[in-house]
Amino acid sequence: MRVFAFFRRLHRTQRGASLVEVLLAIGLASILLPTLATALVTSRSSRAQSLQQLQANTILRETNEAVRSVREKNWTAFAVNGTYYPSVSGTAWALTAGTQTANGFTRQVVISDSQRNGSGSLVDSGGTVDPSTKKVVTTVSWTTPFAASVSSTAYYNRWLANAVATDTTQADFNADILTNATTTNTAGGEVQLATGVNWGSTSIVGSYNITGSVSGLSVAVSGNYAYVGYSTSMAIFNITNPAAPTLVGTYAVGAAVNGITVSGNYAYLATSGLTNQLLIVNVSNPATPTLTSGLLVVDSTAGKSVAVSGTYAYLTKKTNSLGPEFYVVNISNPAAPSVVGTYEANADLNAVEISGNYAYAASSNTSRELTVINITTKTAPTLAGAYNGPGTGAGTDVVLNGTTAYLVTNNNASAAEFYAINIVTPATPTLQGSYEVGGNATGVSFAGSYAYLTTAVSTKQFIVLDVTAPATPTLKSTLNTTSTLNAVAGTAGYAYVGSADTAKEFTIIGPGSSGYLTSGTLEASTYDTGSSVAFNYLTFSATQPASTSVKIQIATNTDNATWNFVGPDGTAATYYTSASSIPYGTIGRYFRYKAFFTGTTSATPILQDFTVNYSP
Amino acid sequence: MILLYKKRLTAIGSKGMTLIEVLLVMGLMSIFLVMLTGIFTAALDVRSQSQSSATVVQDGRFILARLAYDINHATAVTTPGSLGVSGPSLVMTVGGSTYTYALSGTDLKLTDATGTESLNGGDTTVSSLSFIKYGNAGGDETVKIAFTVTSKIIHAGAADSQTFSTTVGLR
Repeated sequence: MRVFAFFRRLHRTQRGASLVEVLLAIGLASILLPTLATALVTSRSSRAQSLQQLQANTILRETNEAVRSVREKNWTAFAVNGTYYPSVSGTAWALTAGTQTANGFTRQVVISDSQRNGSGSLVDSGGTVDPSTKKVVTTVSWTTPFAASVSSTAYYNRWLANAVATDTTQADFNADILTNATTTNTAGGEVQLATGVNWGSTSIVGSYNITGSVSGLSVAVSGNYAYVGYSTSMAIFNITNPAAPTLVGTYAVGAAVNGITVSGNYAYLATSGLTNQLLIVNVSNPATPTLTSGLLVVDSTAGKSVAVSGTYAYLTKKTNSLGPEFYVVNISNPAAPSVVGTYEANADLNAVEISGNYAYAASSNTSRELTVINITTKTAPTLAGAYNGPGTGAGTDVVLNGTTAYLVTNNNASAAEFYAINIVTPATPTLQGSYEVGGNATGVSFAGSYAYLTTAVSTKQFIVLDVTAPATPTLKSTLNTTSTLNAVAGTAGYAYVGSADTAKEFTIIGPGSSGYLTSGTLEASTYDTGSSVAFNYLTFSATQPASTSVKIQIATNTDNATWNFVGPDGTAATYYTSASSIPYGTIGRYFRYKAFFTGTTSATPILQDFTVNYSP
Repeated sequence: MILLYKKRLTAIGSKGMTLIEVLLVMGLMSIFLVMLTGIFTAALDVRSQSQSSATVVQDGRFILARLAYDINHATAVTTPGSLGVSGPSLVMTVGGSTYTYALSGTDLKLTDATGTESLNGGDTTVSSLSFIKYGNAGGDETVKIAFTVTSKIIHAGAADSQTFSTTVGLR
């Protein structure tokens, strides 16, 4: 009964507890089932997430490769701060502004400045911006199943195809502007200080023996060429190497060439030819001078000299009773010269020079050795004035230097043969100073502060006068060439003379040396890199004996016009004295360097080569 | 004894509750069973799916890594020949020998100096393999790679498949 009672109680209790159990079960289930479900879902979606991550990394890799490729193509176009995404343009990668979302992935490339500290290390902030390094942050992000992203940060430099600009051969250096410096080619091309000239002594530097027994009569120099008129023809010499002038071309006249002037592509010859006193020869190709035209003036005496100014040539002749000696020839069309005006001098006009509206002629009229002709009106030249030298020697040659005319004459028994004449007022030329040659003077030329005279005096056919002060021409040196010299054309470094010596018709006379100049510069010709580049490093080879030095400054710009030469600290006060890196902000398209040479009269530094390395 | 049983039976039956209880239990049981079966099926499904997906991801990752390594080390890519031209195979020079990546049937095969080997496992197939070169004339080229890896393990009536695409440049 007790047992039964227990069962009855239990039964009662059971009936009450079953609902609790159900609730408990539901409660337990509601806790466990979501956990289970979550675990299930998580396991599925984390797999999806890991797949997304793999895909994102492939996109990240592609994006970075595209960035590399774009950087390789053109740094300047690449190095623009902003947000981009890669795209294919034609067959190459390009960066397009903005971000791109494709297949659930958003990608972007953020290009920004990088900064470096004083020691050149990259820093996040507080440094100076390095224009040759860009910070690139690439990000690929996605939103399903969970929002996440992968990204990479890289610093890109200009690096590919670093290029160099080099000056090393003599031709390279010859393209540069040399001041008191000169190029040589003893070891592949170098630059060194030039030697100073000292006209206190002179010597024959080089000569050329023209075929036949002829005599050099007239000389003109233009650029690298000397034009020499002789008894039968005109010869053109390359005088790049004064020690060994080389014959380039010859034009056969068949008569003596008494005067030569070169202007533009033409050589104007005053000849003894009885059919053509004026010849116009095209010398644009010095190897093959060709006749453009010839002009016969009314009478048959020899042409003596010719000068060109503007579109007119001025021809002077030996005197002739039949016609004038001074002709104004219109050469605006060199193929068809025409006489527009004449002047009757009644004397030989042996030489002529033009300055402004006046022609200055050396005349055989012994009361007008220097005859000044007004050529304002081309059709009617008139006598403007004259200088009457003290003797009876005919004027033989004249050369102008500003407001001074230098006139030489044939022998005057008791007077000078060289005159410095003031021509400030062309109507009244006045004597400034003179020099006694002691015989017939045949030619005169002027360069720098020196007058070069050729003479027929047996012991001193060549004379150098210092005419720094025209009032007191002073002798610098004389040279005995053993044969009469007929004409001279001078430069600061050399005198080119036409000689009666049939073995040296063309002779080059040079001065003695005063040793090396003590300072000089080389300013390089512009190097165009083609685009904005960073200059990295410069190196140069130089031989620097004791007490000599070579220092370098560089200049870059983007306008090819502003040249500020600076040293390693970015100012003009410092110099590169050895191979050195260039400050990393040196950006530009055009580059020049300037070398400063310092030496002594007995020692010169020698610059063998210069190279600058740059990153496009 | 029989009487007692009858009495008890009568006592219970007279209440009319036990049947409801049984029905309740059965109902609950069936709900649980359905849910458990569902979970079990899902777990099985997940297992097969993750197996299939894992092989796809594993092979995809391996092929990508291998291609990236070889292209990075290549000195020249000879096929595809020109920039912008797409092709089904990749021929390049790596360390003096020629490497050829191409499909052979449904396998991606690499042929190099040592022979030919398959880059995907036995559980996957590779299809839609394409290579296209982009880059700058005279510069380091980049090769855009695309391929699809498909699992041979079928679940839910479909095979897992993934397309991979990336670009690798020469160095």
